[in-house]
Amino acid sequence: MTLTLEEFNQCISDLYEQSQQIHDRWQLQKTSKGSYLVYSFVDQDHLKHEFHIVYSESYAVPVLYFNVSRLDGSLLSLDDVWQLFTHRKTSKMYETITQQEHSILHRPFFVLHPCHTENVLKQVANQPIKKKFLFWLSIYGQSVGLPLSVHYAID
Amino acid sequence: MGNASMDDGDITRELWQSRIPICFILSDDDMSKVNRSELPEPLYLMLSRHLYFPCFIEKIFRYYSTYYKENLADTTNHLSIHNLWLEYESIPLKWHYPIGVLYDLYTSSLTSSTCHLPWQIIVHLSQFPENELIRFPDRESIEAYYMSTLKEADALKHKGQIIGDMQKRDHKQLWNSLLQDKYETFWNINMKLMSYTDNLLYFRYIPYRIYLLDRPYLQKLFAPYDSEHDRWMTLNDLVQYSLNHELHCEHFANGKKMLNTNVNDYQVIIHGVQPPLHTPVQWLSEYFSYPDNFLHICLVEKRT
Repeated sequence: MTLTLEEFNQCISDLYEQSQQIHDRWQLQKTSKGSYLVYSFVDQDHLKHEFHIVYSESYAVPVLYFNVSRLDGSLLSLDDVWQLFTHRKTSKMYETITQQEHSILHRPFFVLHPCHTENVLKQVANQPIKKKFLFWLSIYGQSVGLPLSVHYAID
Repeated sequence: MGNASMDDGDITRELWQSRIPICFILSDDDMSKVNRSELPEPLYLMLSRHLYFPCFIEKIFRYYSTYYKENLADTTNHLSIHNLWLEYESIPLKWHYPIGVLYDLYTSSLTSSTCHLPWQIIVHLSQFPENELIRFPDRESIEAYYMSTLKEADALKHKGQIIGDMQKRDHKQLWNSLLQDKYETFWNINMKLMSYTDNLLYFRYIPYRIYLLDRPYLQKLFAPYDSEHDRWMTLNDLVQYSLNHELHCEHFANGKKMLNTNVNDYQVIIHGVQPPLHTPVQWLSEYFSYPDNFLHICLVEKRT
Protein backbone atom coordinates (compact mmCIF):
# COMPACT_ATOMS: atom_id res chain seq x y z
CA MET A 1 0.00 0.00 0.00
CA THR A 2 1.40 3.34 -1.00
CA LEU A 3 0.70 6.99 -0.32
CA THR A 4 0.57 9.70 -2.94
CA LEU A 5 2.41 12.93 -2.28
CA GLU A 6 -0.92 14.67 -1.72
CA GLU A 7 -1.98 12.07 0.84
CA PHE A 8 1.38 12.34 2.59
CA ASN A 9 1.14 16.13 2.76
CA GLN A 10 -2.35 15.84 4.19
CA CYS A 11 -1.18 13.36 6.85
CA ILE A 12 1.73 15.45 8.05
CA SER A 13 -0.39 18.55 8.03
CA ASP A 14 -3.02 16.81 10.18
CA LEU A 15 -0.41 15.45 12.56
CA TYR A 16 1.07 18.91 12.93
CA GLU A 17 -2.36 20.41 13.69
CA GLN A 18 -3.03 17.77 16.32
CA SER A 19 0.42 18.29 17.77
CA GLN A 20 -0.29 21.98 18.18
CA GLN A 21 -3.55 21.19 19.94
CA ILE A 22 -1.95 18.88 22.49
CA HIS A 23 1.12 21.09 22.84
CA ASP A 24 3.47 18.46 21.47
CA ARG A 25 6.72 19.14 19.66
CA TRP A 26 6.13 18.34 16.00
CA GLN A 27 7.22 21.04 13.57
CA LEU A 28 6.22 21.29 9.93
CA GLN A 29 8.92 22.40 7.52
CA LYS A 30 7.90 23.58 4.08
CA THR A 31 10.57 23.84 1.40
CA SER A 32 10.63 24.14 -2.36
CA LYS A 33 11.67 20.48 -2.47
CA GLY A 34 8.79 19.30 -0.32
CA SER A 35 7.36 19.39 3.19
CA TYR A 36 8.45 17.27 6.13
CA LEU A 37 7.83 16.88 9.84
CA VAL A 38 10.48 17.29 12.54
CA TYR A 39 10.42 16.07 16.13
CA SER A 40 13.29 16.57 18.52
CA PHE A 41 13.95 16.17 22.21
CA VAL A 42 16.86 15.90 24.62
CA ASP A 43 16.99 12.79 26.79
CA GLN A 44 18.22 12.39 30.36
CA ASP A 45 21.75 11.70 29.12
CA HIS A 46 21.74 15.06 27.32
CA LEU A 47 21.58 13.38 23.94
CA LYS A 48 19.55 15.21 21.33
CA HIS A 49 17.25 13.00 19.25
CA GLU A 50 15.97 14.40 15.99
CA PHE A 51 13.39 12.69 13.76
CA HIS A 52 12.24 13.69 10.29
CA ILE A 53 9.31 12.29 8.35
CA VAL A 54 9.99 12.74 4.65
CA TYR A 55 8.17 11.48 1.56
CA SER A 56 9.96 9.03 -0.70
CA GLU A 57 8.94 9.43 -4.33
CA SER A 58 10.77 6.28 -5.31
CA TYR A 59 8.79 4.10 -2.88
CA ALA A 60 5.68 6.29 -2.58
CA VAL A 61 5.76 5.86 1.19
CA PRO A 62 6.86 7.99 4.15
CA VAL A 63 10.43 7.52 5.38
CA LEU A 64 11.76 8.08 8.90
CA TYR A 65 15.15 9.79 9.16
CA PHE A 66 16.85 10.37 12.48
CA ASN A 67 20.06 11.54 14.12
CA VAL A 68 21.26 11.48 17.70
CA SER A 69 23.84 14.04 18.76
CA ARG A 70 25.79 14.91 21.87
CA LEU A 71 25.93 18.26 23.61
CA ASP A 72 29.02 19.22 21.65
CA GLY A 73 27.12 18.65 18.40
CA SER A 74 28.93 15.46 17.42
CA LEU A 75 26.78 12.73 15.90
CA LEU A 76 26.38 9.26 17.33
CA SER A 77 27.70 6.48 15.12
CA LEU A 78 25.56 3.56 14.01
CA ASP A 79 27.14 1.39 16.71
CA ASP A 80 26.37 3.99 19.37
CA VAL A 81 22.82 4.29 18.10
CA TRP A 82 22.25 0.54 18.30
CA GLN A 83 23.60 0.42 21.83
CA LEU A 84 21.17 3.16 22.66
CA PHE A 85 18.23 1.13 21.45
CA THR A 86 19.59 -2.00 23.15
CA HIS A 87 19.23 -4.09 20.06
CA ARG A 88 21.66 -6.93 19.66
CA LYS A 89 24.06 -6.31 16.84
CA THR A 90 23.34 -8.79 14.08
CA SER A 91 23.98 -8.67 10.36
CA LYS A 92 20.32 -7.91 9.83
CA MET A 93 20.91 -4.65 11.61
CA TYR A 94 22.57 -3.06 8.64
CA GLU A 95 19.65 -4.01 6.47
CA THR A 96 17.23 -1.96 8.48
CA ILE A 97 19.24 1.15 9.37
CA THR A 98 21.72 2.83 7.04
CA GLN A 99 23.16 6.28 6.85
CA GLN A 100 21.85 8.12 3.80
CA GLU A 101 21.81 11.56 2.27
CA HIS A 102 18.57 13.18 3.48
CA SER A 103 16.55 13.66 0.30
CA ILE A 104 15.70 17.29 1.07
CA LEU A 105 18.53 18.53 3.31
CA HIS A 106 21.25 16.49 1.58
CA ARG A 107 23.28 15.77 4.70
CA PRO A 108 23.82 12.49 6.55
CA PHE A 109 20.93 10.99 8.51
CA PHE A 110 20.18 7.49 9.63
CA VAL A 111 17.16 6.03 7.89
CA LEU A 112 14.96 3.04 8.52
CA HIS A 113 14.90 1.40 5.14
CA PRO A 114 11.57 1.88 3.35
CA CYS A 115 11.69 -1.29 1.28
CA HIS A 116 9.48 -3.14 3.77
CA THR A 117 7.08 -0.30 4.40
CA GLU A 118 4.64 -1.37 1.71
CA ASN A 119 4.39 -4.82 3.33
CA VAL A 120 3.96 -3.32 6.77
CA LEU A 121 1.15 -1.13 5.47
CA LYS A 122 -0.63 -4.13 3.93
CA GLN A 123 -1.79 -4.97 7.44
CA VAL A 124 -3.87 -1.81 7.43
CA ALA A 125 -4.69 -1.84 3.74
CA ASN A 126 -8.39 -1.10 4.22
CA GLN A 127 -7.96 1.61 6.79
CA PRO A 128 -8.26 5.31 6.03
CA ILE A 129 -5.04 7.02 4.97
CA LYS A 130 -4.59 8.74 8.29
CA LYS A 131 -4.77 5.48 10.25
CA LYS A 132 -2.29 3.89 7.85
CA PHE A 133 0.09 6.76 8.39
CA LEU A 134 -0.15 6.59 12.19
CA PHE A 135 0.25 2.82 12.10
CA TRP A 136 3.42 3.21 10.07
CA LEU A 137 4.72 5.92 12.40
CA SER A 138 4.04 3.94 15.54
CA ILE A 139 5.87 0.85 14.24
CA TYR A 140 8.90 2.56 12.77
CA GLY A 141 9.09 5.27 15.40
CA GLN A 142 8.94 2.80 18.25
CA SER A 143 12.03 0.95 17.10
CA VAL A 144 14.10 4.13 17.27
CA GLY A 145 12.71 5.72 20.39
CA LEU A 146 10.28 8.20 18.88
CA PRO A 147 7.62 9.00 21.48
CA LEU A 148 4.12 9.02 20.04
CA SER A 149 1.27 10.14 22.19
CA VAL A 150 -1.89 8.01 22.19
CA HIS A 151 -3.78 11.20 21.53
CA TYR A 152 -2.87 11.00 17.85
CA ALA A 153 -4.83 7.79 17.50
CA ILE A 154 -7.95 9.47 18.79
CA ASP A 155 -9.85 11.32 16.12
CA MET B 1 14.55 -2.49 -26.57
CA GLY B 2 14.61 -6.23 -27.31
CA ASN B 3 17.37 -8.72 -26.65
CA ALA B 4 20.95 -7.69 -26.06
CA SER B 5 23.00 -7.73 -29.21
CA MET B 6 26.67 -8.63 -29.27
CA ASP B 7 27.55 -4.94 -29.36
CA ASP B 8 25.48 -4.00 -26.34
CA GLY B 9 27.13 -6.75 -24.29
CA ASP B 10 30.54 -5.44 -25.32
CA ILE B 11 29.53 -2.05 -24.02
CA THR B 12 28.67 -3.29 -20.55
CA ARG B 13 31.93 -5.20 -20.42
CA GLU B 14 33.94 -2.15 -21.49
CA LEU B 15 32.25 -0.02 -18.84
CA TRP B 16 32.91 -2.69 -16.22
CA GLN B 17 36.62 -2.59 -16.99
CA SER B 18 37.15 1.15 -16.96
CA ARG B 19 39.46 2.44 -14.27
CA ILE B 20 40.90 5.71 -13.09
CA PRO B 21 44.48 6.27 -11.92
CA ILE B 22 44.40 8.02 -8.56
CA CYS B 23 47.20 9.60 -6.57
CA PHE B 24 46.49 9.87 -2.83
CA ILE B 25 48.45 12.57 -1.04
CA LEU B 26 48.47 13.03 2.71
CA SER B 27 47.09 16.36 3.92
CA ASP B 28 49.54 18.97 5.18
CA ASP B 29 47.90 18.87 8.57
CA ASP B 30 48.40 15.13 9.00
CA MET B 31 51.83 15.26 7.34
CA SER B 32 53.02 17.46 10.18
CA LYS B 33 52.21 14.70 12.68
CA VAL B 34 54.31 12.05 10.98
CA ASN B 35 57.02 10.83 13.29
CA ARG B 36 59.51 9.44 10.81
CA SER B 37 62.32 11.29 9.19
CA GLU B 38 61.03 10.33 5.76
CA LEU B 39 57.71 11.79 4.71
CA PRO B 40 55.10 9.55 3.09
CA GLU B 41 55.24 9.22 -0.67
CA PRO B 42 51.92 9.56 -2.49
CA LEU B 43 49.96 6.33 -2.92
CA TYR B 44 49.03 5.37 -6.47
CA LEU B 45 46.03 3.13 -7.16
CA MET B 46 44.04 2.18 -10.28
CA LEU B 47 40.41 2.08 -9.17
CA SER B 48 37.26 0.91 -10.92
CA ARG B 49 34.96 3.73 -11.89
CA HIS B 50 31.93 1.89 -10.59
CA LEU B 51 33.29 1.12 -7.11
CA TYR B 52 33.23 3.32 -4.04
CA PHE B 53 36.18 4.98 -2.28
CA PRO B 54 35.20 3.47 1.11
CA CYS B 55 36.09 0.05 -0.36
CA PHE B 56 39.70 1.21 -0.16
CA ILE B 57 39.74 2.91 3.24
CA GLU B 58 41.59 0.02 4.82
CA LYS B 59 44.20 -0.14 2.09
CA ILE B 60 44.84 3.60 2.23
CA PHE B 61 44.98 3.67 6.01
CA ARG B 62 47.34 0.70 6.20
CA TYR B 63 49.70 2.47 3.82
CA TYR B 64 49.87 5.69 5.83
CA SER B 65 49.73 4.12 9.27
CA THR B 66 53.25 2.74 8.83
CA TYR B 67 54.45 6.33 9.09
CA TYR B 68 52.65 6.90 12.38
CA LYS B 69 53.63 3.82 14.34
CA GLU B 70 54.05 5.63 17.62
CA ASN B 71 51.47 8.32 17.09
CA LEU B 72 48.64 5.88 16.48
CA ALA B 73 48.72 4.87 20.14
CA ASP B 74 48.36 8.50 21.15
CA THR B 75 44.62 8.97 21.18
CA THR B 76 44.84 12.73 21.47
CA ASN B 77 46.00 12.75 17.88
CA HIS B 78 42.63 11.41 16.74
CA LEU B 79 44.43 9.58 13.97
CA SER B 80 42.17 6.69 13.31
CA ILE B 81 40.87 4.67 10.39
CA HIS B 82 37.42 5.86 11.44
CA ASN B 83 38.41 9.47 10.84
CA LEU B 84 39.87 8.91 7.39
CA TRP B 85 38.27 10.98 4.68
CA LEU B 86 39.10 12.28 1.22
CA GLU B 87 39.16 15.76 -0.20
CA TYR B 88 39.49 17.30 -3.63
CA GLU B 89 40.19 21.03 -3.86
CA SER B 90 38.82 21.76 -0.39
CA ILE B 91 35.68 19.73 -1.03
CA PRO B 92 35.08 16.64 1.11
CA LEU B 93 34.43 13.85 -1.40
CA LYS B 94 30.94 12.37 -1.04
CA TRP B 95 32.20 8.87 -1.20
CA HIS B 96 28.79 7.24 -1.23
CA TYR B 97 28.78 8.26 -4.90
CA PRO B 98 30.70 5.93 -7.25
CA ILE B 99 34.32 6.91 -7.95
CA GLY B 100 33.65 7.58 -11.64
CA VAL B 101 30.85 10.01 -10.83
CA LEU B 102 33.09 12.11 -8.58
CA TYR B 103 35.87 12.07 -11.14
CA ASP B 104 33.63 13.17 -14.00
CA LEU B 105 31.97 15.85 -11.91
CA TYR B 106 35.10 17.47 -10.53
CA THR B 107 37.60 17.11 -13.35
CA SER B 108 35.60 17.46 -16.56
CA SER B 109 35.62 21.22 -16.46
CA LEU B 110 39.40 21.42 -16.42
CA THR B 111 40.76 22.74 -19.69
CA SER B 112 43.70 20.49 -20.38
CA SER B 113 43.01 16.78 -20.60
CA THR B 114 46.47 15.92 -19.33
CA CYS B 115 46.57 17.91 -16.15
CA HIS B 116 44.13 15.80 -14.16
CA LEU B 117 45.53 12.26 -14.53
CA PRO B 118 46.37 10.69 -12.18
CA TRP B 119 43.58 12.28 -10.19
CA GLN B 120 45.16 13.87 -7.12
CA ILE B 121 43.16 13.42 -3.95
CA ILE B 122 44.05 14.56 -0.42
CA VAL B 123 43.83 12.05 2.39
CA HIS B 124 42.84 13.26 5.86
CA LEU B 125 43.24 11.16 8.97
CA SER B 126 41.46 13.44 11.41
CA GLN B 127 38.53 15.87 11.76
CA PHE B 128 36.03 13.81 9.85
CA PRO B 129 33.31 16.19 8.53
CA GLU B 130 30.38 14.17 9.86
CA ASN B 131 27.75 16.71 8.87
CA GLU B 132 28.72 16.25 5.25
CA LEU B 133 30.05 12.75 4.80
CA ILE B 134 28.47 9.37 5.39
CA ARG B 135 30.54 7.02 7.56
CA PHE B 136 31.43 3.53 6.42
CA PRO B 137 32.94 1.84 9.47
CA ASP B 138 33.25 -1.55 7.75
CA ARG B 139 32.64 -3.52 4.56
CA GLU B 140 29.13 -4.46 5.64
CA SER B 141 28.09 -0.83 5.79
CA ILE B 142 29.19 -0.28 2.18
CA GLU B 143 27.32 -3.40 1.14
CA ALA B 144 24.22 -2.18 2.99
CA TYR B 145 24.44 1.17 1.25
CA TYR B 146 24.89 -0.47 -2.17
CA MET B 147 21.92 -2.77 -1.55
CA SER B 148 19.71 0.10 -0.44
CA THR B 149 20.47 1.96 -3.69
CA LEU B 150 19.87 -1.18 -5.74
CA LYS B 151 16.52 -1.71 -4.00
CA GLU B 152 15.50 1.84 -4.72
CA ALA B 153 16.36 1.33 -8.40
CA ASP B 154 14.17 -1.78 -8.51
CA ALA B 155 11.38 0.03 -6.69
CA LEU B 156 11.43 2.58 -9.51
CA LYS B 157 11.74 0.06 -12.35
CA HIS B 158 9.56 -2.78 -11.10
CA LYS B 159 7.90 -1.70 -7.83
CA GLY B 160 10.55 -3.81 -6.15
CA GLN B 161 9.09 -7.07 -7.49
CA ILE B 162 12.28 -8.48 -8.98
CA ILE B 163 14.69 -7.75 -6.18
CA GLY B 164 12.06 -8.77 -3.67
CA ASP B 165 11.74 -12.19 -5.32
CA MET B 166 15.48 -12.75 -5.34
CA GLN B 167 17.14 -14.98 -2.80
CA LYS B 168 19.45 -13.47 -0.24
CA ARG B 169 22.32 -15.34 -1.91
CA ASP B 170 21.60 -13.50 -5.18
CA HIS B 171 21.97 -10.18 -3.37
CA LYS B 172 25.24 -11.42 -1.90
CA GLN B 173 26.41 -12.57 -5.33
CA LEU B 174 25.84 -9.11 -6.78
CA TRP B 175 27.88 -7.40 -4.09
CA ASN B 176 30.66 -9.98 -3.94
CA SER B 177 31.15 -10.12 -7.69
CA LEU B 178 31.27 -6.34 -7.70
CA LEU B 179 34.02 -6.37 -5.08
CA GLN B 180 35.89 -9.25 -6.72
CA ASP B 181 35.63 -7.77 -10.20
CA LYS B 182 33.69 -10.73 -11.61
CA TYR B 183 31.71 -9.40 -14.58
CA GLU B 184 30.01 -12.67 -15.60
CA THR B 185 28.86 -13.59 -12.11
CA PHE B 186 27.56 -10.07 -11.60
CA TRP B 187 25.57 -9.95 -14.81
CA ASN B 188 24.14 -13.43 -14.29
CA ILE B 189 22.04 -11.88 -11.55
CA ASN B 190 21.92 -8.28 -12.76
CA MET B 191 20.27 -9.20 -16.03
CA LYS B 192 17.19 -10.25 -14.06
CA LEU B 193 16.99 -6.65 -12.86
CA MET B 194 17.05 -5.52 -16.49
CA SER B 195 13.97 -7.51 -17.47
CA TYR B 196 10.44 -6.19 -17.83
CA THR B 197 7.36 -6.73 -15.69
CA ASP B 198 3.65 -5.99 -15.87
CA ASN B 199 3.46 -6.64 -19.63
CA LEU B 200 5.52 -3.53 -20.28
CA LEU B 201 8.39 -3.34 -22.75
CA TYR B 202 10.22 -0.86 -20.60
CA PHE B 203 10.81 0.13 -16.97
CA ARG B 204 8.11 1.87 -14.96
CA TYR B 205 10.48 4.74 -14.08
CA ILE B 206 14.17 5.25 -14.85
CA PRO B 207 16.50 5.29 -11.82
CA TYR B 208 18.77 8.27 -12.32
CA ARG B 209 20.56 11.08 -10.54
CA ILE B 210 21.97 14.21 -12.15
CA TYR B 211 25.00 15.83 -10.55
CA LEU B 212 25.99 19.47 -10.94
CA LEU B 213 28.75 21.39 -9.19
CA ASP B 214 27.68 23.28 -6.06
CA ARG B 215 24.27 21.70 -5.96
CA PRO B 216 22.60 18.62 -4.47
CA TYR B 217 21.78 15.98 -7.07
CA LEU B 218 18.54 16.04 -9.06
CA GLN B 219 16.26 13.03 -9.04
CA LYS B 220 12.64 12.86 -10.23
CA LEU B 221 10.17 10.23 -11.40
CA PHE B 222 10.68 9.85 -15.14
CA ALA B 223 9.02 7.30 -17.41
CA PRO B 224 11.03 6.07 -20.42
CA TYR B 225 8.10 5.84 -22.80
CA ASP B 226 5.39 8.34 -23.58
CA SER B 227 2.46 6.13 -24.54
CA GLU B 228 0.27 9.10 -25.37
CA HIS B 229 2.58 10.20 -28.18
CA ASP B 230 4.11 6.77 -28.89
CA ARG B 231 7.57 8.12 -28.26
CA TRP B 232 10.67 6.85 -26.48
CA MET B 233 12.05 9.51 -24.17
CA THR B 234 15.63 10.53 -24.80
CA LEU B 235 18.57 11.57 -22.64
CA ASN B 236 17.87 15.12 -23.74
CA ASP B 237 14.26 14.84 -22.54
CA LEU B 238 15.37 13.52 -19.16
CA VAL B 239 17.98 16.20 -18.57
CA GLN B 240 15.69 18.97 -19.80
CA TYR B 241 12.84 17.79 -17.59
CA SER B 242 15.10 17.63 -14.52
CA LEU B 243 16.62 21.05 -15.12
CA ASN B 244 13.21 22.64 -15.71
CA HIS B 245 11.84 21.11 -12.54
CA GLU B 246 14.84 22.26 -10.52
CA LEU B 247 14.55 25.81 -11.79
CA HIS B 248 10.91 25.77 -10.86
CA CYS B 249 11.85 24.87 -7.29
CA GLU B 250 14.59 27.40 -6.95
CA HIS B 251 14.30 30.39 -4.70
CA PHE B 252 15.43 33.46 -6.53
CA ALA B 253 15.52 35.49 -3.35
CA ASN B 254 18.43 33.73 -1.70
CA GLY B 255 20.88 35.04 -4.24
CA LYS B 256 21.77 31.64 -5.62
CA LYS B 257 23.09 31.62 -9.12
CA MET B 258 20.15 30.92 -11.42
CA LEU B 259 20.27 27.49 -12.94
CA ASN B 260 21.03 27.36 -16.66
CA THR B 261 18.41 25.06 -18.16
CA ASN B 262 19.86 24.98 -21.66
CA VAL B 263 21.02 21.38 -22.08
CA ASN B 264 23.34 22.39 -24.92
CA ASP B 265 25.38 24.49 -22.53
CA TYR B 266 26.45 21.34 -20.69
CA GLN B 267 28.58 18.30 -21.31
CA VAL B 268 26.30 15.41 -20.38
CA ILE B 269 28.65 12.76 -19.03
CA ILE B 270 27.99 9.15 -17.99
CA HIS B 271 30.94 6.83 -17.27
CA GLY B 272 33.29 9.48 -18.61
CA VAL B 273 31.68 9.60 -22.05
CA GLN B 274 29.04 11.83 -23.61
CA PRO B 275 26.30 9.63 -25.08
CA PRO B 276 24.34 11.22 -27.93
CA LEU B 277 21.48 13.24 -26.45
CA HIS B 278 18.95 11.47 -28.68
CA THR B 279 19.74 8.09 -27.06
CA PRO B 280 16.59 6.54 -25.55
CA VAL B 281 16.82 6.51 -21.74
CA GLN B 282 15.42 2.99 -21.65
CA TRP B 283 18.51 1.77 -23.50
CA LEU B 284 20.80 3.83 -21.30
CA SER B 285 19.15 2.44 -18.19
CA GLU B 286 19.75 -1.12 -19.39
CA TYR B 287 23.31 -0.73 -20.66
CA PHE B 288 24.79 2.42 -19.17
CA SER B 289 23.71 2.18 -15.56
CA TYR B 290 26.20 1.70 -12.79
CA PRO B 291 26.15 -1.62 -10.90
CA ASP B 292 23.68 -0.02 -8.48
CA ASN B 293 21.29 0.16 -11.48
CA PHE B 294 21.20 3.95 -11.40
CA LEU B 295 22.17 6.23 -14.28
CA HIS B 296 24.57 8.66 -12.64
CA ILE B 297 24.74 11.64 -14.98
CA CYS B 298 27.19 14.53 -14.58
CA LEU B 299 26.35 17.91 -16.06
CA VAL B 300 29.40 20.05 -16.51
CA GLU B 301 29.03 23.53 -17.99
CA LYS B 302 30.86 23.93 -21.26
CA ARG B 303 33.40 26.69 -21.32
CA THR B 304 32.34 29.46 -23.69
